[in-house]
Amino acid sequence: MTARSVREGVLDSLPIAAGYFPIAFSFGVSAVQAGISPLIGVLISAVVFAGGSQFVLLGLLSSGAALPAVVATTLLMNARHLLYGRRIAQSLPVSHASPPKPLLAFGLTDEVFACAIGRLHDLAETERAHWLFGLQCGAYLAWVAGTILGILTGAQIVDRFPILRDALGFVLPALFLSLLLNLDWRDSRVSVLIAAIVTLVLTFFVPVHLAILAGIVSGICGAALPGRGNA
Amino acid sequence: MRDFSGALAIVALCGIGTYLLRLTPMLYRSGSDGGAASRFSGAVGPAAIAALFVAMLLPLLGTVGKTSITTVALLTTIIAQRMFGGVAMPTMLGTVAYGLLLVLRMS
Repeated sequence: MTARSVREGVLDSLPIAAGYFPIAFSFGVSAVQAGISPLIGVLISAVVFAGGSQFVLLGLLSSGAALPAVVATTLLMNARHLLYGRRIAQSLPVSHASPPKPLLAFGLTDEVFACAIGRLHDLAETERAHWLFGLQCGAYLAWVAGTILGILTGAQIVDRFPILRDALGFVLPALFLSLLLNLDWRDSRVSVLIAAIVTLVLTFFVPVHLAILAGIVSGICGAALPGRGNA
Repeated sequence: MRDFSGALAIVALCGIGTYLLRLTPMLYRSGSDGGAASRFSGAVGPAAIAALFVAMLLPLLGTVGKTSITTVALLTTIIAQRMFGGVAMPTMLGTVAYGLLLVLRMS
């Protein structure tokens, strides 16, 4: 039962893995282009395992931004993960012990969360944690493998197809737009608009990583404003 | 360029921090759903994504040609998101559209 649940989770991760692999590959290529050590590039994917924020982390690392700014920006971007864990925990049996929650928490990415929320309630309670573990394993392996391949072959591929360098510049905007479109706008539109406008304006006056931080903080403060958008 | 140990420390801090952001709510599943704290924590993610989207998009705008290509690629991303949902597929299709348009403009 346990092994079968894990196997089913791995199989269900294939669509996520198919989407992750090319993005992770482009991350590996971007790491090479940014002049980051190959080991650091792989470690970012292996340790942080958080799509969009990894590209930002890469950009800030290569630009020489200060440690507090890099860490704060990365963590603020990943702060939405605070919303995921509780929902997942509510779907698992209270008494479940294996795999332990600290292990299941590591692989709780956006796509894994979305897939898990859609499937967990269809599974028997005793199978859920193992299925989730399998789902996370498939996604994680695809992410790390894609990164390694991008780092190993990225330089040659970009030299051969220089247009790839420019094309990869759209990966991040596309990723963030997709994440924005996945949001529940009834709950967050004021925060989104304030963050976007403040970032847009400040980009012309201060370094981009400071504009991002100011935009995020302004957006969070915007949540205090009364109105339907912040219900 | 930052030295190896400095980069390693940053990666470790980001990894530990991200992990704690995922783990902490799993360990404390009970609590109230409403209130200011809930509203603020709910706004963090959307605000971060919006700010990063704007910051990453701006370098892709400028000339009419660049802006047109970026606009079409953004529309492709939106349409793909509406058709397939999720994040991975729209991201890939939007990027492929952007790359193809760049090739067309050069040829």
